[in-house]
Amino acid sequence: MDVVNTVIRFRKIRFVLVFFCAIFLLTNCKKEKNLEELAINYEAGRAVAVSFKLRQADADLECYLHGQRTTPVLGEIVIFEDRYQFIPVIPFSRGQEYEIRSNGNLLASFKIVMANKNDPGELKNIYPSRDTVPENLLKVYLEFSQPMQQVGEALNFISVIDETTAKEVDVFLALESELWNKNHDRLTLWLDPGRIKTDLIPNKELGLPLSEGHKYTLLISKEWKTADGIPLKRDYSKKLVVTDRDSQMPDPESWEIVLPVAGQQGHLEINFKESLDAILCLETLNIENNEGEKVAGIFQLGKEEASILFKPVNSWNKGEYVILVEAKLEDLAGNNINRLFDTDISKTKSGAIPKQFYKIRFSINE
Amino acid sequence: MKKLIFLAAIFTLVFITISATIDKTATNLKDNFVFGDPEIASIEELTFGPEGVLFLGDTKNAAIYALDTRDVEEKNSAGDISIDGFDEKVAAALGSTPENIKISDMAVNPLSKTVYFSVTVTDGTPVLLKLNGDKLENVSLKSVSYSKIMLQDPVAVDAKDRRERPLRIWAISDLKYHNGKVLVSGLSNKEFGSTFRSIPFPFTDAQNYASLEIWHAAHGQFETHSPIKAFDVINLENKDYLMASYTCTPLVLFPLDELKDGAHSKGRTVAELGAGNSPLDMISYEKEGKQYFLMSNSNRPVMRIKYETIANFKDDITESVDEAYVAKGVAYDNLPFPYVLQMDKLDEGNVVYIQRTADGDMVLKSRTTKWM
Repeated sequence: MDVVNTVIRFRKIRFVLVFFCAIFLLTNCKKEKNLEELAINYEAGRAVAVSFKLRQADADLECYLHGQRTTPVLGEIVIFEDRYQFIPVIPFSRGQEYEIRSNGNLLASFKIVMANKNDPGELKNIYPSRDTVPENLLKVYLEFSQPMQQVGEALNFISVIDETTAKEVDVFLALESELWNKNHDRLTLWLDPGRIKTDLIPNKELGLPLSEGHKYTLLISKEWKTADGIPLKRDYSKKLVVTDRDSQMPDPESWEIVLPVAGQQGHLEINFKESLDAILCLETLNIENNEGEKVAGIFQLGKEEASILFKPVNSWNKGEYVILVEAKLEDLAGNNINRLFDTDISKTKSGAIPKQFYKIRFSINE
Repeated sequence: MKKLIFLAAIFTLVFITISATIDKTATNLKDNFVFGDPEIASIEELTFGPEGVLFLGDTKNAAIYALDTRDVEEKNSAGDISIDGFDEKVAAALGSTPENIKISDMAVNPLSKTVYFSVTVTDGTPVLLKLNGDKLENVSLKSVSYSKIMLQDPVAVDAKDRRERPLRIWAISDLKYHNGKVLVSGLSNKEFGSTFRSIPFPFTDAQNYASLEIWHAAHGQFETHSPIKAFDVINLENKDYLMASYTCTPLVLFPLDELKDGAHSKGRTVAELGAGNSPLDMISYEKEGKQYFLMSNSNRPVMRIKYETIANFKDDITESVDEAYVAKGVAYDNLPFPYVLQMDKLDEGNVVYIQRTADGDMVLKSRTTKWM
């Protein structure tokens, strides 16, 4: 009796199990059957679309970020015969999981695998490259080996420690529109100009950003990512020793010119006798021959940006030349050839029209 | 004969294609618009002009674009807006997470009351979105009717022609449309200086827009060359003034008709709103026949300034403020809205803003000006 009951009970359980398995398989098959041959479409290493086949047409398809219920990914669905393609407005993100749903039902999910990691970005240069800077230093440039992330705030990855007081200090001006170059691999940081200019309110309230006699460490975090989302190779740091105020304008008259030899492609060296703004140096100098034609070549910064080398494409000819210097060339304190950065305009002579260019003539004789 | 039929067919096809691409809503303002991909590289600032024209400030291309949104159906009022986790919503709509996006600006179409957002993703790709109910929609930047003007500095243009050097880049810090002109403030990435431009719209090929460098001589006669962060236009005694707020937080008035090509204009400082702060947005609204200005800030709550207070303030602040963090000049009220990141007028009775709340959430909300 017991044996018979047990067998009947076993059969019932088996029947129920088989029934549920069949239902499970049916529903699963249905899901898998309607969407098949899912493929991620890549273009220049970016996942620009996902394509798949549908057995039955479906007008309610949506793509969601995994776990997201309310906001679908924006994009368009392109249909070609039984093949569907979803093209998101922005390419899918690496490492992110997505789902294709119809009326809230999951049809398929897919993950964008991380491609082979690109080279991590590096901080190539920090300008000024010298450690000793005036207390009215105006700008710091950071040059990276590749374009950096274009979201978030740069100042979140930069910290400055005043080693003399062992405190972290704010020295850079926070700007809503950060000053990157077009390639997004060079950032210009201003030390707060309102604090540098004598008697302005920020200057009176907070004092100069850097104090004479103090030592500082500038730290750049490796958490800073490239535009590809890869952190920098390592943390970077730079020491700064602050000396007295620079209240002298750059004076092209005092520069030393080391001449090349005619008939050769030798370097022309211009020695500024002080460190100048690295980026402006590269953009404000030009050399012309006595016909007024530009001499083709490239400029290369010298040690601590206190000099610059000009390498011509062709050999030098004998004759007269001129170095054209744009007046906007600045030293480390933002003093340009026409004016000091911190100028009392009530004491400035009026009437004189400042020159746009300064000329330094030289001749190559042999 | 066959040739004739073929030619006729081609002609018909070309005619159909041209008629399909012609902007049916074209008016004088949009006469010089072209259809296609404007190749916008970045969007830092947004502002609406008339007839659904949206102006975009592109720092990377140093250009201002005028886009025909064709969003011209007039509505008197917008519905209530209240979206929590707004950054998450925008990120999800772009298939990403909040740390990988940045909402760079927000602007309301004064005709349709639709809110538009410019968003940047990690690799710098700009996106334009608009809000429809509580849903976000993409606004194409690739197939649009548009016109553009390059923000080239005349000196730099010469320099490039002669020396083949890259142009100076201007970061566009604010953008407004006023009375047939697009007003643009910006700052240079290399030399510390501020520029302000007044560009006639529709844009012309001649690019004969006014350009000048602004300076003011407050605080013991020292020039400042400080960059304008946000501005608005105020009419005082039937004269339009540029009301500019600076990073170093003075509020300065410049007569708009004095902002001429190449001219230097000396501004009148009417307020010092305290150091350690940077203005973000400035808007104006009217309530019970009176005009008010609202200014959102990086480190201060939203400030409200009454029009009358500015109109009645005749002084020019030239004395230094001796006490730390003390404000001076025209009076203002602090409204209980800290950390307002974006702000614009929604309709006659409401403003819309993006705010970071105390618990770190980013919310998009509308609020009646009755309580502002």
